[in-house]
Amino acid sequence: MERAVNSPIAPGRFRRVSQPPVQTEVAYDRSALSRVWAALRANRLAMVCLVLMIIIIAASALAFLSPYDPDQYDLMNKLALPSLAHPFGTDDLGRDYFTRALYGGRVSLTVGFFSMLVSVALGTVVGTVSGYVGGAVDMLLMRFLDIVMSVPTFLLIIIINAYVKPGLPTMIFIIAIFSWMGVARIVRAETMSLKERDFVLAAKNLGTSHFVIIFRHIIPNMSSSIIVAASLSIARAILTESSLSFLGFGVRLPNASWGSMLQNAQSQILYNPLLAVFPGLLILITVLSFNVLGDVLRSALEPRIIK
Amino acid sequence: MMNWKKRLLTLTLTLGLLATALASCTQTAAGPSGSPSASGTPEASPSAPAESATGEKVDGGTLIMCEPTDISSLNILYETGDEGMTMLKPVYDPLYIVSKDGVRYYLAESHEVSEDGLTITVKLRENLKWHDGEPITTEDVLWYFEMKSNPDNNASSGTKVNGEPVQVAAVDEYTFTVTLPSVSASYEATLGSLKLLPKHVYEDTPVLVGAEINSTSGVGSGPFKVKEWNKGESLVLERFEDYYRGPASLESVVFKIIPNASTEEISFQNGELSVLRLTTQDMLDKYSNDPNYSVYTLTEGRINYMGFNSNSPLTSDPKVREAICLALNVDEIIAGAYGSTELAPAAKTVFCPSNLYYSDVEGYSQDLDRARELIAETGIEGKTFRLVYNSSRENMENCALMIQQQLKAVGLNVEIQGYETQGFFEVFFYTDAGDWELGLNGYSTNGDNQGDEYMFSLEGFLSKNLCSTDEIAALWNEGDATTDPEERAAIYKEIQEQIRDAYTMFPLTSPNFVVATDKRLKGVDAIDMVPLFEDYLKLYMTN
Amino acid sequence: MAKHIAKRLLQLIPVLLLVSIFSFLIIHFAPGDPLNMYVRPDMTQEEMDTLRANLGLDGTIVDQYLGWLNNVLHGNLGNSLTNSGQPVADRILEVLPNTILLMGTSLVLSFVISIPLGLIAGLKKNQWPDQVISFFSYIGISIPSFWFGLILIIVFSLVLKVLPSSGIHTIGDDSLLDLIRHLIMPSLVLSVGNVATFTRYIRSATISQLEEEYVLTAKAKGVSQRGILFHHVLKNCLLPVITLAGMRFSSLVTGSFIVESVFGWPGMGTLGMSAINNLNYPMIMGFTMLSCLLLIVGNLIADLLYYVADPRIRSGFQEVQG
Repeated sequence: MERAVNSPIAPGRFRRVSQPPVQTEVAYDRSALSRVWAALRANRLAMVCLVLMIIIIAASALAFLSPYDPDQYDLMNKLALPSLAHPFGTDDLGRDYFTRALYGGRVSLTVGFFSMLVSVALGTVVGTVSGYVGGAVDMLLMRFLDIVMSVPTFLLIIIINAYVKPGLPTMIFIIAIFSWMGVARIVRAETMSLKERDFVLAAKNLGTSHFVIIFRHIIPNMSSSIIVAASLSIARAILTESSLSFLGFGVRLPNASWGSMLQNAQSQILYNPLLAVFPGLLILITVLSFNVLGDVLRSALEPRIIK
Repeated sequence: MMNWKKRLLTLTLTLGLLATALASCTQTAAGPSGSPSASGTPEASPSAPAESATGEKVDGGTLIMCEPTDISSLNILYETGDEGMTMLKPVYDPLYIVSKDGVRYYLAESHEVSEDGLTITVKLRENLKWHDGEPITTEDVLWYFEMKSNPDNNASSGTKVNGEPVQVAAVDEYTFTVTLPSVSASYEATLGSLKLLPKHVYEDTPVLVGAEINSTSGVGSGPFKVKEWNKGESLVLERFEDYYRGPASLESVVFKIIPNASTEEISFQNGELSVLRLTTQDMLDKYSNDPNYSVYTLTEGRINYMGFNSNSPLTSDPKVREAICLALNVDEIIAGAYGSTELAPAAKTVFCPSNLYYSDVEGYSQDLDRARELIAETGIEGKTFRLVYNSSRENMENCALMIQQQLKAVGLNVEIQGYETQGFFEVFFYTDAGDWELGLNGYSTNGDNQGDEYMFSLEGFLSKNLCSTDEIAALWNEGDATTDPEERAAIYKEIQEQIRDAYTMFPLTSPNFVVATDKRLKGVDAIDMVPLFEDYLKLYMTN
Repeated sequence: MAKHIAKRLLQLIPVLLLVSIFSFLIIHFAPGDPLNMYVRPDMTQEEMDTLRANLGLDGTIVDQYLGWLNNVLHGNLGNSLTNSGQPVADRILEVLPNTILLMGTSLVLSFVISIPLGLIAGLKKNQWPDQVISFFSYIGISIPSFWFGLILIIVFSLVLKVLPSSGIHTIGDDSLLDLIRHLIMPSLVLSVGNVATFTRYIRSATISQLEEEYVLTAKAKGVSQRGILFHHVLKNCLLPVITLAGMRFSSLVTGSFIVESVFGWPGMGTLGMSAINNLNYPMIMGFTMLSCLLLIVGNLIADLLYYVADPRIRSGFQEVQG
């Protein structure tokens, strides 16, 4: 049974190398999409997650439609309970909590999405180069990967965040540079098997450049694995961001993320627990959705291995 | 479970009460009353538990408090942070405390400043004992100053006046004199606040920095001695029976380390803590209305303010600073950030009423028209001001947000950036890159006003970004070189006015230190001083 | 085998060196001078220079690094940059047992919870117990641990008042029971992620074991389901699961940052946080090195156990490593 190494439920770092080459389809193949759709329809939880995720993303994107300014205080309306005017109530400065949660979602999702992009891009480049070129380059890159993997990641992220001027791009970059290793491993293994395949060998014989082979033949053929890894990587990045914000090393004012909203709510938790409930639930639902969908994608896209 | 605990506690208390009642029958309740020549401090006669039979007070009991971080040693010399000041306070007594209400004497019995202001004579009490039973004498004092003057010990504070060392000489076993190189009116208070260390414990250690003994000894002079220190977890103190003012009423004092504020409050509600600082209106309301708790409001002796950066081209212009000061509404900021003026009364000036010299000068009041005029005149409309604040401090973030919104109303943009304490100090004090315009900070100000000079003197290393004038700097120097109280009062009043008129800072609040306590704990407000508690003899339990 | 261990141990050296250089650089290029922690308004320049030299903060960054490295090679992690200057190693050794206690308990708890859940889910594949367990596994890997911790505190400490909200033991109560009461919530929070992961692993291992021929044979022979589960399936998926634990070591080391902060647990996380906030760089360095070492050793043990547990991977061992 083949599993992505960076999956949160990775059974181990050792892959059985002796297994037969993986049969993959090109990602834009209709059958892949229909397989995903079928898997989604078969899994009620996944369907619910998809809907919730679309709602959360759409709402965050459309946050500007809210009649409230997320930063405008209203001291007459402090800590109001949820109502029609304020679906999530207001916070300790009387700001509309729903609007803030939407804007906070933007930050959390942005961090999640972009650090996924950076880490997947980095992982794909390292993985394909390593797997395709092989030899000493492969050895060096894999040693380097081992080293980065042996590092207490979260600790280093905290240290960097504490000492580097915090900001959204910094945050994205820092989370990304410590999370590309899993993708790189998967991609490397896939590249190694793909480069022995007939169509790649044929292209080579026709004198196609390595660059073209990598981008036209190899990367598209492992896009399903990359998509799965990306989905799980977003989930993890959002969690990392919220943990950092909670410890006070995250995105700072004037921006709020769900994590920093939780950090603020923490001091109020005994009096206004709702302030902690909403952002916490939003993180939970979003991360859950990405994890569930990632697994569904995996089982739909991953070819069955015949015993 | 809780019930069982409570019952046990009651049982213990009852037994304790019985035991003390018996003890006071067999002995004559004499003991050293130890009432010093102090002014206005009713000494809670600690060795009179016989009264407890008639009513409220019981002997014994445990006071449990908490701090977010642990001390790193038991040596008060190196524990100058908040946690050290609080947790080691009961272990080490100062010589005396100069306050607005007069001088309160501890290790010293009396002190006297010579006519010319250059010599201070201090007389120690004769019945002083270290926690290990050795007597405290001027030998300890002489060694203490010598040890402090060793640069390797990195502890020279309090031994210098204007950069020159003071001279210490022993007159006899209990009297010593300190001769100042030049007049410094504030040194009297500095000297009094020094906390002696036992010579016989430390003298064999040539360099104290990094020495193991700092963490193992903990021998002090205060009413409580160290019983056990579980690093990172708790400090347990037990009462020192040979204490020179008689043993304390409380049996023990425990400090727990609880980093998380919510956890702290839950511990308090579960009876695992005796004292809780109230920082929000919700907390204040809750505990004020709960008959199981008492709420006390103490003066924190602190000014929180917004400073302007002299190295930024924007805020180096006094007109710009004036515009900002007039655009802000301090009451609204407080209402938003703190919730009520009970927690944080607005500050009008740079000193607190708890300072020796405080004048009720007029402060700033919001004037939007004039502010807009000035903004138009200086052409700063639409400009962006960068506001930095210390994100580890309670309420600062909300203050920043309120200021941002108020300045937005007059057309000024504010970008907010929070830093952890060290990072904030770096930006606010130590570097002069001019990369911020407004900064939220606070300083504690108690006793002698001159203690604040380091915040305002242009020569100090904390004033790289400070807006000030040469006149103000000269006034500070004059304030320290003058001995006559009335003259000094006039000087500090002028400092207040000049700082106001030069728009060098915008005072926000002088917050109160509001605590809720277990109802059985009494004497919390006997001395209106922070950090808690100046005098642990004043505390006692009731049933 | 021995060669492999030796190789892995040798790999430790460049990893630790690189991590130390990296951390050193970050801390030193961080805005802020650690000296400022100790400077008092009344200090002269001369005193500041003495202090800087005493703290080992003079010289170029290369000098400082080499000085630090030299000390470390002599078994000295340096003195903490707090005023009292306690040796870093002492400080870390003081809190390490607390963290290990918490991590150990959490690992045991993870197994105790996940083994039965995994077996049930595997046995009832795609039936309702499996779906319920799978749903909670998803929650387990998706819930922010600090949020979960806060919820537990509210429920068990504030509302039900059955568990202490923070610390490691009640003052004056050294009993084991008291310690256990303090351990429950933090170790539970630290376990959630692991329980979810282990459960899903055991589930899939159970499913594949149940399809193995020997199980089918046993079934045909009329061995009871319980017998099959405990004698065959569990035995065959337990050891790989133990190796999982080694791999989850990192989550325990870093998880302790958050959990210790929420529950006021006096361990490595609490120490690390205060070191970071105070620019206490010898402490940060010592702390980082130790975490790194723990992580690598944890992974190594996991690899070895895996190797021992599953002969089938031995053939592929070299290649995966290379």
